[in-house]
Amino acid sequence: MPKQQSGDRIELVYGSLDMLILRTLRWGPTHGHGIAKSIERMSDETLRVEHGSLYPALQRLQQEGWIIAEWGVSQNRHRAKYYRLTAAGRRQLVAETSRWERFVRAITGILQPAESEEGQ
Amino acid sequence: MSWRRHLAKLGALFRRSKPVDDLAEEIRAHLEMEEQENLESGMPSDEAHYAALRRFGNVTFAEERSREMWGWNSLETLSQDVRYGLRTLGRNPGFTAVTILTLALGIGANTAAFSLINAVLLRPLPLPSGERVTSIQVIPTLAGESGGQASPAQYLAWRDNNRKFDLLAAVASSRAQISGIDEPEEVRVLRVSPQLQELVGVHPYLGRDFSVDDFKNGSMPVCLISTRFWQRRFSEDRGVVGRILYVDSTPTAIIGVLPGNLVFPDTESDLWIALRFAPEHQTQRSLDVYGRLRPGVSAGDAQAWLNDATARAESEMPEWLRTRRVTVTPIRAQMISDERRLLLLLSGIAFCVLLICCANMSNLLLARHLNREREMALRASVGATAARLVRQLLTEAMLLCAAGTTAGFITGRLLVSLSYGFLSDSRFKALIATGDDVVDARVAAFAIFLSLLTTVLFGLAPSLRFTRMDLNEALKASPRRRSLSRGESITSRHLIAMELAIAFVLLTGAGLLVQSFGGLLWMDRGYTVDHLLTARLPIPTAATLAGRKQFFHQLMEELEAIPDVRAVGVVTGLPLGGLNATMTLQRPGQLLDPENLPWASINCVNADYFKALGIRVLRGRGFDSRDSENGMPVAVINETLARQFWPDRDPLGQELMPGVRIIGIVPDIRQEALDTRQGPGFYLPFDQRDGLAAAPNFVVIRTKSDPKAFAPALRRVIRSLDQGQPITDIRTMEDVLGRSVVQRRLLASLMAVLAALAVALSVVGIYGVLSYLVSSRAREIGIRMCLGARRREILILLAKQLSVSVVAGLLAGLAVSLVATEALSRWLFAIRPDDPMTIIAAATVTAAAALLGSVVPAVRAVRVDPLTAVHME
Repeated sequence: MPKQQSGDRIELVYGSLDMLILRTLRWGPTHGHGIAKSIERMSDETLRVEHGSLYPALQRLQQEGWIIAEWGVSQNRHRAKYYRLTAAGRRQLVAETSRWERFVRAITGILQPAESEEGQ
Repeated sequence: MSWRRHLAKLGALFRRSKPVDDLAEEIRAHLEMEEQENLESGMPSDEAHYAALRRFGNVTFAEERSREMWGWNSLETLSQDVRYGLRTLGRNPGFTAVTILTLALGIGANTAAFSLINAVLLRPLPLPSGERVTSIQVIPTLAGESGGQASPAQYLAWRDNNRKFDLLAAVASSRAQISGIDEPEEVRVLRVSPQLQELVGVHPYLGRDFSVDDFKNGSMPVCLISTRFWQRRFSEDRGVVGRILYVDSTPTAIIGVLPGNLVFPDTESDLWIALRFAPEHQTQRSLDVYGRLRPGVSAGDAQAWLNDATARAESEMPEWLRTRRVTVTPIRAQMISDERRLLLLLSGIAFCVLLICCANMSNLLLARHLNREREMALRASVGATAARLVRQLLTEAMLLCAAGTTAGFITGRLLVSLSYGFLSDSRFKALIATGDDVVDARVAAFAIFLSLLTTVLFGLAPSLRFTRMDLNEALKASPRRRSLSRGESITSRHLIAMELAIAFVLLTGAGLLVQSFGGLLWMDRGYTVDHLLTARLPIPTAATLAGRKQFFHQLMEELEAIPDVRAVGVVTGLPLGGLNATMTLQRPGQLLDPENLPWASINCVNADYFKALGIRVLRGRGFDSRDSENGMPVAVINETLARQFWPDRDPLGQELMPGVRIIGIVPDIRQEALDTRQGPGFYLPFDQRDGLAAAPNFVVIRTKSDPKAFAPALRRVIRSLDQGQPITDIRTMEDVLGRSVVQRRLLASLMAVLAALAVALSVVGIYGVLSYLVSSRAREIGIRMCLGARRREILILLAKQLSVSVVAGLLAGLAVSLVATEALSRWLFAIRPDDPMTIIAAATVTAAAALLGSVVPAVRAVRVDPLTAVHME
């Protein structure tokens, strides 16, 4: 893999990692590595997730009861811990997503004029 | 944090396998997957491994953060810190032992001092409303008359007009001979007024309380006996109630047994007898009066009222018979006046020891923290937060603190029981003995507080520096190259100076007290104490003068017949024996001046008394067989009497009293106490005196061998002569002497031990700081040596570092000593508080301690191998 230029990737906004994990798990149970990879893939490699930072977040989500973990075997016959979304997790994801959308709309609303100014 | 997360954590805490237990495995799997993916995308294998690690970030950090997610109140980290702390402390047994020892001493000394203060000054008195109980003292106008006690007339007048007290109780204390049980005995007896039982709040353990009738003249006299007496004389026979004792020949019925552990009004009395007032004794000052103030009345109010009432009642009396004043003192202050000073002194000393301990703790921990800087930097660089590091150090400090507190607590208990053994029987001792335990919750809290203060303050302060550590620098610097920063080195020097100053002060104090004690033991007392056996033989109640004289003559005869008995003396009041009779003498050609009566102590003795006690006769002669009942009345006087009464004439041949000629002069001896000079005193042959007051109370035997071996023979001889003769206190004279200096011995030995400790701790402190200095400057020393510095110059370099602290310490110590030893003057004997020799000696020892502490580091410094030191990383 060629070395990434640091400018190409965006650091995650605090708190958004939880939402991204929940979102990823909506497609089915997967392990930590899978979650990291799919976040990168879904964002066309724009979002930079330090894989290590995933694990504290996974513990937190477990405690909230939004995901549960169980050991399984991966396609490459690695023993790995699989995380699965719970019903509470699903509700949380919906809530988080709508909150996020409102947040983005608000930010975009503020930034719009600046962009148009730039365009002139 | 939501309740759900709390619940999950709580579950995790108790679940056997925690969700985090397999975290390491999970992360390893993650890394393998990533590595494999990298391999598949065509990376070389080692590159693939490292890329995976890079992508993951700090593994330890991720793991630690994930664990923290589950840690509830950081319990997880705590146990980890504790385990790690225990391992680290175990790896440095020397450091750990010295630290715990230091804490044990400092906390132990202070816990002990506080236990005593708590027991005596802070805990509620074992009396109902004890804070309102006062002692009422009457100071008579006439000098020389023993102050403090009130006459029955005064007491009854106060009691009948009382408006300031709930209760006014009177107690008359005396000795009385008890017969009616197999062996006669003399015991202390209290005659108590009806109010005393209520004031003290005691009820008999067995039997009944005093009733109103018990105090009326004419009814059968009754008494309560102490538990001690009940055990000793009646073997705890429960049928004792109703038995008759003869108290000074008066039949008295036992109505009950008092509970043990009574502190008030005294601890020694074996009998409480209902007090009755005989009309003929109305004006004798014989009563100790105690009053419980009414709520809201101050001691000052009560005192003013008592003084008014007394002045009104005595307005008719001649002035010299009147009361000078009446004082009302809270009972606690009255019970412990001397001991309060002693306690304050002890706690002052204990505090000094604590200061030294703190200084040592600080030095030890500082040196240790500097040595661990690299370790801390390493941990910080692999992801430990500053807070985590501080917490780690704090945990270690707390571990030390816990161990130190435990050790200190044990030491404290030990010290208390040790000093308890030293204490003479007194209310002070009884106060300590009452209650469940001297070391109560308050004492425990105090010990823990002190411990926390020392460890946290001195453990945390150095660890704070790690929060602003420059990792790069710290990692690069080898611990050996790291030298003390300016601030640290100044702190260390201050601490050394402080330690030396305190050691100096304690040494001066110890020097003064030990010399005083030694002075008391070795001074010229005027008599010898070895090979002497003494016994007190109280005069039996039924005794007659003739019978008494005959008894003593027979006694002397039979005792002298025992082999290895050199001389037998009998006397009214033995030196240090607690009985001192005085009488007024009229100076030749002078009228009696009531303001300044010439008192002199009187002792009636036998011919061999001076020989038995080893009292030299300075001029003239001692008594001998000529001075019998029918001989010419004679007297021997002491030097002070000779000087005071016949300043310009030879007293020999003069008349001491009408018809009594002076035949000899003996030196002043230490009669009442070792530390008081004898005033004017004289001796008369007991044979030539009339009246039972002149009859001897003591017998003293000079023996050729161990005097203790003669005790059974003495007892046997007395018993064979008189079945009814009470015998008390068969003791060697050395024992009598020892008992009279118990408090001084305790103080001197405590002070000596603490001073020795202080010196030892200072040596350790100096050794620690200097060792660190040398090892941190080894490179500099090596370079200097390479450049041609000789060993002498290296030593001078070190000496310069140390000498400032030593000189500062000595000066500070000197200044404090000069002021602080004033506090000791009360316990000093034949030595001034600013005795120059003692101060010089203390300074020398302190300086020697500093030198001793620096020998090993200095040797290490000059043995530095320049080559190794310079190359050393």
